[in-house]
Amino acid sequence: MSGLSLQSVKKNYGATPVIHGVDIEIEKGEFVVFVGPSGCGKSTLLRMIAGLEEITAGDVYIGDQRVNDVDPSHRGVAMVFQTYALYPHMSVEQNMGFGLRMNGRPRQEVAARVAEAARILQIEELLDRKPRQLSGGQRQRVAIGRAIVRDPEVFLFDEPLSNLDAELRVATRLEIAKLHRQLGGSTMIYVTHDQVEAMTLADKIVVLRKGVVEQIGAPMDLYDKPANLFVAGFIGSPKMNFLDVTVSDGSVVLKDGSSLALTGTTKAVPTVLGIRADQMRLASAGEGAFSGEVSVVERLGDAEFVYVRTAWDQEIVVRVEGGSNTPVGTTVGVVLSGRTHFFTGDGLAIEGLSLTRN
Amino acid sequence: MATTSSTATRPAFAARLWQSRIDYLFLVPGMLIFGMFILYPLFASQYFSLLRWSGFDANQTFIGLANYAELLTDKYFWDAFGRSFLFTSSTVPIQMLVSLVFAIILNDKLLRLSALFRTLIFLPVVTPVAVIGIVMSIILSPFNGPINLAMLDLQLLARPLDFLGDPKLVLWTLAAIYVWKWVGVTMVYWLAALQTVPAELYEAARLDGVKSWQMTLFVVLPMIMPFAIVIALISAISALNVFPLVQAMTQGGPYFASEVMEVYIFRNAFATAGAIPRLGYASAAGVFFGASIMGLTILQILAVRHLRNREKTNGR
Amino acid sequence: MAAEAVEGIRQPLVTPRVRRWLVSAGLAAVCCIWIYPLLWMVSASLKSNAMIFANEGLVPSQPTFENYVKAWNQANIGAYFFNTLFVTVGSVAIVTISTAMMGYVLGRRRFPGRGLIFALIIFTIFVPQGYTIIPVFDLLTRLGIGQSLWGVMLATSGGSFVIFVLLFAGYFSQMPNELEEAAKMDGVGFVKTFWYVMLPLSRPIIVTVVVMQTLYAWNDFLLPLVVTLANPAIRTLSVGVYAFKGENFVDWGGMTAASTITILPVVILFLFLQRYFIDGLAGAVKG
Repeated sequence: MSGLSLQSVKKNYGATPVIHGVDIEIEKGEFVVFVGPSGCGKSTLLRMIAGLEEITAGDVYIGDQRVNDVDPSHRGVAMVFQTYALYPHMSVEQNMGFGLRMNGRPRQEVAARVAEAARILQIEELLDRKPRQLSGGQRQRVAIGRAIVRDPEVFLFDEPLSNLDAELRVATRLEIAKLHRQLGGSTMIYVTHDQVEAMTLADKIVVLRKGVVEQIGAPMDLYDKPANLFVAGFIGSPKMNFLDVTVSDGSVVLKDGSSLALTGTTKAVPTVLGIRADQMRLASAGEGAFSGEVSVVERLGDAEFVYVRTAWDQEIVVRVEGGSNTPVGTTVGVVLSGRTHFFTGDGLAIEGLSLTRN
Repeated sequence: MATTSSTATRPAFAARLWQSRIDYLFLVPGMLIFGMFILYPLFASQYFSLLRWSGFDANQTFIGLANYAELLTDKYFWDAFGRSFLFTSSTVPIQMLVSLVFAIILNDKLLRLSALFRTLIFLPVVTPVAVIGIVMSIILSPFNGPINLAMLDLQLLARPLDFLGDPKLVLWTLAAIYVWKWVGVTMVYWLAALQTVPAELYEAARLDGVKSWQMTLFVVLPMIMPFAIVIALISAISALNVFPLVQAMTQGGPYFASEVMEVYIFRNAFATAGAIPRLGYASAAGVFFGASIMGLTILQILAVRHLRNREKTNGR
Repeated sequence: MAAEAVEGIRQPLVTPRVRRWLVSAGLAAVCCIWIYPLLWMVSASLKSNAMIFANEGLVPSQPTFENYVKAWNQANIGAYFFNTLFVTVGSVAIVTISTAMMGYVLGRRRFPGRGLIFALIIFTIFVPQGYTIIPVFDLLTRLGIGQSLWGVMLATSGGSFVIFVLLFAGYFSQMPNELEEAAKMDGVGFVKTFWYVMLPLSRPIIVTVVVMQTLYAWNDFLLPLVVTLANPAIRTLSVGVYAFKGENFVDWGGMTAASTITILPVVILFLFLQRYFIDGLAGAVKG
């Protein structure tokens, strides 16, 4: 078995802590995505697994071996760098085989492995080219190919799509997902700041912020049951709407005084109501939980994002399937028809609470 | 407005000159310095080399190429000429190699105190040559100089070595001091070249289990090769310009054993030995030497071009 | 995949951290030997001549400043110090202003003759100083400053002139056009744009030029040597120290004290501003 385990891993740069004790368990064959805003420590964490950064405290296990002091090349990991890190003066073939050749592997074995990787990635016709003669997407494949050639237990990807244009990013995302299936038992760890990449690729997402794990879980778990305000806001697009509420007598009261009855009991006191854009619908003025004025309408084609400015001057986004043809400036009512989330003043999610349907 | 014209027709040449008058005004101070101390001397020395001229206030007599004819038969000139190139061809490779080793070691950002080490290695560069001349003469002195004392104590030597007084040793001693003084500059050049190798390449190599010497040999050196040629060129030109060091330490002695080209020129022009100054003759030596360097430089630049072009065509 | 799995996880003998410590220790030893001559110089300057010959090691047992007093007063090092300062400050001012103006025009403006000037500059870049010293001295003599500090100051300005012009030209040519266009839209004239917009933006190059020219002028040897051959009163430190050696060749204490006085200002300048110096040098290779 070759899973991976991080146990209270910490990292300081000088006196500045950047990773504050992280515990993550990764199963063999899992596709795990570390996601978070820039500066959250996700890349540092990946580089600590790779062995490119020293581990200040805590332990990293690959399989059942502690690898804190093991040389990167002996950890059975391969990494795909954001900038691809291809050797500019070597051909694609030489790039992919360089590590094996330098470690004294027989020529035929190197050639066979490179050919196999090239076949998997469909870059056989590029083998004689130099990196500067390749497009961004092709370089990306070569970088992945170099990792495949080493036949590692664990693949590490450090923001591999961020240097590609939008269209190519989607295509390559699909390729990577296919590759994971194709390579069977390989564990993959993937770092990105893009929550869409995280949602689409991952078996398991690790959300990081400021060197702390905010939540670990399957993509839909994170979407449906965010553990806190940060995860709720970070996962999903458009961002979840957050409404400040007060509790009074089994109901929550919005800022404009409208009151919504609650079902369920909890000791925690909800102060924020979260609701995604697709869990609301528009109604005529006066109907629904509250009313507001339409300020902007973004047309996507299959749907619209309608931005409603509330009486307490907050902008709420509502997704309307098909289209609403609501002119800007109209006063509309907003119905909280779907799933709601409640959070305490500390930003923690409250379980077992929902609005009473009437 | 003195800025570029937006009219469709190309203005007459005089009008364009007038339009650029502020540009020319800005050039005046710089062109004065450049013209007086860089450009004029270049052409003036060619004229001087055709003169018999024995001092800055003495009469000048035009004698055509007679100075050059004499140069060609002057043993001291050819000795100095050869010595300059010997000095250059022995110091440049050593200097480049030593500084490359330093640069590769110091390029590791995680290395403790690497900034301090860089500063220390660079220190001789900022030390005036005159000071180095003095300190090194004392340190290498055969009479109680610390180096000789230390080597005698360790019984590496039976008798003190006269590093600067022995005609067989002196040029090599100067070469060693020269390398010591200037390695810092070449090291900075190499460090700049090494900056062009992205950190990810080292990391990728580490993950691939590529050893550092393999990485250096197969990745780093090929990548910084274009810089190596430029660095060699700059170093070679500087090594031909070794006058201050030699003058400060040996004045070309003993018995002319360290007389490089510039010392020869200086000796003839400024007559330090009490002889009659021969400015025209010294100029001829300078022109001949300068032209040789220029030729060498052009050859090197052509070589660089050739290599770069070849690389480009290979790349496509 | 056909090949066998990567070799098993191995625990290393020497961790990278330990290896770096070892390299650091080795380098520290090398550096000590490297700057030993300079350490020895400072140490000797604090000893009496008798103690220098006693070969007692680097730390003086009876430190004395006598050598410094002697060198400063008797050997005229004090006067030479101010000569050098005068030459250095003057040439730095001349060089900085003239190269910035020239570099700006060459780097950003198009005018007839620009190509010619560039060609001349490149042509002269590799001319050794020994080649030009005779005409330079001849010119200074004709201008009547062949034996004065003004002559040294002016001629020293030619030293690295070409490289500085190219540094400025390269830097200015990379600035976005929008800056000048914005200034033009605001109705700011050419000279004011240069003075208030371009010059402040080129501060890194200015500092580099100031530092490099200071070092050059302070350490220059051939030119001041020639100019002061007949007039010892206007010697610079380099020449003064050199002459000191010729005149008092057994006074090691005095010589090392004079040497220490000579290198101290530049070493201090270098230590504080070395980033600019090194950037300037590095820029010369990349260009």
